[in-house]
Amino acid sequence: MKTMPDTNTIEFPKPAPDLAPALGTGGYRLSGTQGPTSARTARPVVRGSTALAPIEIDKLYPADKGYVSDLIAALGVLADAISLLEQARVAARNKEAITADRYWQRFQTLLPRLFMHRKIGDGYGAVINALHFACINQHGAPLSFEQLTTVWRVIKELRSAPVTSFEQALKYVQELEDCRLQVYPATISELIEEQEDE
Amino acid sequence: MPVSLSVADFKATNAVCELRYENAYLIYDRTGQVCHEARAFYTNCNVVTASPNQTIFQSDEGAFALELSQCRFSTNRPDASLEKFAGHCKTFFDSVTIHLDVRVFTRVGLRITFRKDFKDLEEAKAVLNSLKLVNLRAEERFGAAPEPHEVFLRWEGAQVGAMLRLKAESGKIDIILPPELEAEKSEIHKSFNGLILDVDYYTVAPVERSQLDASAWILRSVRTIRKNIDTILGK
Repeated sequence: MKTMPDTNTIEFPKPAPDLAPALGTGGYRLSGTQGPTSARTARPVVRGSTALAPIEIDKLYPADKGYVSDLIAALGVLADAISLLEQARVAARNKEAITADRYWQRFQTLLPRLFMHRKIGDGYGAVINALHFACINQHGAPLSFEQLTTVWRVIKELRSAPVTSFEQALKYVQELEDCRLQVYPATISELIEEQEDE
Repeated sequence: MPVSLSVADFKATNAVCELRYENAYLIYDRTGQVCHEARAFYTNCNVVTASPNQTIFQSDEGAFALELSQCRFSTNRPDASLEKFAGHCKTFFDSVTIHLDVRVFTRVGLRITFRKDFKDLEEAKAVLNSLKLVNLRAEERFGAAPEPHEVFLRWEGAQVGAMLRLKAESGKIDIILPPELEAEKSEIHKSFNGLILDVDYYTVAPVERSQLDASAWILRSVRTIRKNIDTILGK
C-alpha cells in the first residue's frame, strides 16, 4: 500500500506513470500539489498540516490594493469596522457616551460598502443585512457597551470566516437579537407579531 | 552576463489547484452527485476512471480528480489571468466540499508551471545559471557538470509555504499520424528547449471551509506568485 509523500520530501521514481503528467519531465515526482491523475489507492494519513489553529485570514488573503475582489475588499472594510467598534467599546467602557456614539456612527457609514460585497456568500449577506436593520431600528439611539461588544465580536468572527454558512450566520443574527438589537425590518416584525396574535 | 527575467517572459503551461482534507468517507456515497453536477456545468465532461477511492473525470475545461482525502482540478491550457481556471476550481470544490461534508482543509495548494523557450538547451542552462540562485563556485560536482541544470527551493512558515523549481529542459514530440487521415505530412516532429519554472504555493495551517473562497484565493495567490518570482528572478 502506498502512503502519501511527506510535504518536505521528494518521492523518487515510481513505475506507474500518470495518464497525462502535469508536471514537466523530471526524473522524480515532486511532492506537493499533484498532477491530475496520480494513481493512488489508499491514503491512510493526511499530511500537510499538524497545526490545530486555523490559518490567519490575512495570511490566506494578504492585503492587496491593486487587486479588486469582493472578499479581499470586504476584509479591508471589516478591519476598519473592527477598529472603529474597538474604539467605541473603549469609549463606552470609560462612560464617554458621545465619543462611543461617534465611532458607532462612523461604523454605520461602512455598512453600504460591506453590503456591496454580499456576493461573498449568503451567510455574509445575512449578517450585514441584520446589522443594517439593527442600525435603522435604533433610530439614532446609542448602543450599550454590551451591544457594541456583541457587534464587535460578530464582525470579528465574520472577518475570520467571511465565507460563513447561512446557518452559522443565523446564529450570529440570533446573538445580535439576544442583545436587544432589532435585526429585521420593522414591517416584518409587525407582520410576525400580527401572525402570532392571530 | 546576468540575465534579468520576469514572470511575464514565461508562458503558463499548466495549472493545478488541490484541496486536501481528512478522509471523507461520504465519497463512497456521493461521488455520483459530484460527477452529475460536474457534467451539468462543464463541457463534454466524462468519467475517465472510477474506483471507490478515486474518480477522475475530464472535460474541455480540464481534468478533475476526486479522492478520499483530496480533490484537484488541473488544466494544460490555463488562461493568462487564470480567472477562468479559478472559476472552474471554485465550482468543482464547492460541489465536493458540500457533498463530502468537508469542514476543514489540511492543505490548499496551487501549482503553476511556466515555460520560456530558448533556441537550445545550452542557452536555457546559461540563463538559469546566470540567475545565480545557488551560491556555489562553478566546478564539476559529482563528476557530472560544473553548473546545476535544475534548482529547487522551498520556503515554509507556520501558515503558508512555497516551492520553486527552475529547470533547463529539452524535449521532443514525435507523432505518427494514422494513414486514414490522408494528411500531407504523415509525421510530426517537434523539439523544444526551454526553462521551466514550477511554483507550488500552499497553506500549511488548516483552512476552514468558512474561510475559503477558492476563486478569490487562487487569484490572490497568482498575484503573490508573480510578485515573488519577479523579485527572485530580477533580484
